[in-house]
Order: sequence, then structure tokens, then C-alpha cells
Amino acid sequence: MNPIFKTGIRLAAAVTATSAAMAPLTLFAAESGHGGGSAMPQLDVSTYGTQVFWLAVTFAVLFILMWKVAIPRVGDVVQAREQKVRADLERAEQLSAEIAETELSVEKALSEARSEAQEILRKAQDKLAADHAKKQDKLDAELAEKLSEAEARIAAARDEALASVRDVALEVAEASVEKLTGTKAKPAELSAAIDAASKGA
Amino acid sequence: MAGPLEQFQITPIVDGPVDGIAFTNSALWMTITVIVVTIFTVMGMSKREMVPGRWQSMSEAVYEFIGSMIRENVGDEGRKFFPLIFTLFVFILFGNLLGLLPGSFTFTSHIIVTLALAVFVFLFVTLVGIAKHGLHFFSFFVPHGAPTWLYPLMIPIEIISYLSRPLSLAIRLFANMMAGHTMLKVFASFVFGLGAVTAGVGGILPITMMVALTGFEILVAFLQAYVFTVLTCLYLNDALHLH
Repeated sequence: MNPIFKTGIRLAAAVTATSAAMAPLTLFAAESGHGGGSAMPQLDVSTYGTQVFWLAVTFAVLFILMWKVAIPRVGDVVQAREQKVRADLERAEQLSAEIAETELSVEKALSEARSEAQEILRKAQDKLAADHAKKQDKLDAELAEKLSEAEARIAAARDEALASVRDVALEVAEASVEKLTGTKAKPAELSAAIDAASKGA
Repeated sequence: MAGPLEQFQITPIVDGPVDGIAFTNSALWMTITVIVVTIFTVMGMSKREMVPGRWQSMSEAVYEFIGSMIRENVGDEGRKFFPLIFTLFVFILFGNLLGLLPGSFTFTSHIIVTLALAVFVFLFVTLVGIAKHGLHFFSFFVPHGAPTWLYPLMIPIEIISYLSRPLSLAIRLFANMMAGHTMLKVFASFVFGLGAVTAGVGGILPITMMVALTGFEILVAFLQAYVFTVLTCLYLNDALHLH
């Protein structure tokens, strides 16, 4: 057994005796310890003092380093990131609400414009229809006028034609009487005969 | 050839100022663990990037891991114990992992180290419970719903089970680490033993086994650190909330 561990035995004994639950283990360790360090170094009680001492020292140092240095650093970064993510999410939410609002107003404006356009279209159509009707009326009147004019002209032409038919008939009758009889018929008799014939016709 | 248990030998490197506290190989690896953990957590966070790199991610992952462990097992009250639980986890984890390096020393493979940690946790948790609940803390040992005439039987059982907590905590970690390292050493000796008589061919199988076992030991290193820490959290929860 290493001489520098001598105090370690007493130290370890004191440490292990702190808990009643550890009593059987201490006994076991002590028994094996007598057999020399070759069996299980873990049961060599002479090394317990230094191990517990350095465990306490290193663990305490690590605890202070973690508590005061490492954990706040990591915590800061993690927290900063969480805050940033939360802020970004909030902003995104706000923006999406704004977008929805804008969309709504755009839609409203659009529907307003659409109804307005329809109104204009309807008015234009009405006006067009009215104009059309007016023009139609005017055209109808003109046409009717022209028609009556034409009818009058036709009637005049017919009268004229009918009158000239009488003259032609008179001439034809005069000529045919002359050719047949060789004498000239009296115009008064001729016209009377024609009138009678045309009346009979 | 060194025996499979020789790797657990404690050998002094520098004599201490007082007898019995010599700076040994165990103490050396405890110190290395402290340095490596500090480098890992402090240097990893040196850039404090919003989008973390690999190293920073790892430090943050450990931080978040312990954070969620405490949240789930202890609740909001456990928040103030974060530094202690965190230190406990990284100390055991890095102790286990660094112990897997060839030629290193695994201080968690010594029962006295794990027992000292477990007793510390046990005493700490008990003191937290007494500080919070005063004498009412001892109602923890009175089983709920049991008839009064069973109390003389049940209360001693509860007390024994409470007192056995540090033992199971210590032995679980120590036994796992020691068994794993012993097994690695045994297989390592097979590599040389079988290899020497078969011109190297016989060494292939045990070395393959060693590769697999090393992977398994890395898992065990994580797992045992996790189990130790999670049980600490559960004990803390018991002490804070009493059933």
C-alpha cells in the first residue's frame, strides 16, 4: 500500500461512515482492501481520501465555472434567439393582419368600382337605346313622309298616264275611223265614245 | 500483459501538501474533464451566433436537454437547481466519455467517486426537502392510503427505500463503467493473445467486437450520465412536492 495514502484511509473511513446505508460496503471494502491492491483497485480504501478530495475540488470548480460563466452565456444566446423568434413571429402576425385588411379594402374598392362601372354601362346603354329609339322614330317619320310623297307622285303619274291614255285613245280612234271610213270623225263624237268606252271598261 | 483490472489502478502523480490527497491519475482526469467541459461550453458560445454553428449547437443542445429534463421532472421550481443538475450531467458525461480514450482513466469507474456524488445528491435533495417543508418533510415516509395498523411495517420500508437511493445511484454508474471497461480490456487482450498465435488472423474477430463494444460504451456513457441526472431530478421532485 502506498504510504501517501495512509491518511486517506482515515479520511475515507470518516467519509464512508457518514451514511448508515453505506456501512456494509465499507466493511466489504475493508475486507478486500487487506488482500492487497491487486484484486479490485476500486476497493482499495487507501485511495478514497484523494479521490473524494479531488472530486470535491474539481466538481466545485466546474460548478462555479458553469454557474457563473458557461450557463449565463448559453442562456443569453438562447434567450436572445427566443426573443428574436417571438418578435419575428409577432411582426409576421401583424403583417399578415395588415395584408388581410388591405385585401379587404382592395376587394371593397374593386366591388365599388365594379358596381360603378355597371352603373355607367347601364346608363350608356339606356342613353344609346333612347338615342336609337329617337333616330328610329325620326327615320320612320321620314320614311313615312317619303312614302306618302312617293305615293302622291305615283298617283299623279297614274292620273297623268290615264289622261294621256285618253288622248292616245282619241288619236287612235280618230286615225282608225279615218282609215276605216275615210272620213274624219267629229272630235266631240269621238270623245263622247271614248268616255263611254272607258266608263264601260 | 496487464490484467483487465489494472486500468483502474490509482497512481499518484504529484504528492499533495497533506498526506492522503496526492494528485493522482484520477484527479488528473477530473481536472481534464473540468477543462474540456469549460472549453466545450464557454468557447463554443464565444461567437454567440443567432444561427449556431456545430459547436455552439452542441453546447446549446446540452443546455436545452437539461432544461427540458428539469421542466418535465421537477417543474418550474426546479429552475433554480439548473446549474447544479447541469454540472452533474456534464461532469459525469465527460468523465465517462473521456475515460473511453485509450490510455485515459475513468474516474466514474470508482465506487468511492460515484458514491460521493450520490451521497452529495442525496444529502442535498434531503436538505432541500427539509428546507421547504420543515418537519412536514418526514410525512414523505408515511405511505398514502395504507391503513394505520400497517404503519409500523410500511414506514421502516419507506425509510429503507429512501436510504438505498444513493447506493443504487452510485452502484449503477460505477458498475456500468467498470464492467464496460473491463470487457474492453478483456477483448483487447484477446486481440493480442489470439493474434500472436495465428499470425494476426485470430485478432480480427475480437477487434471487430471491440469496435462494436466501443460504440456501445459511448452509448452507455451517455445513458448512465442521463440516468444519474434524471434520477437526481426525480428525487428533487419528490423532495419539493412530497408524493
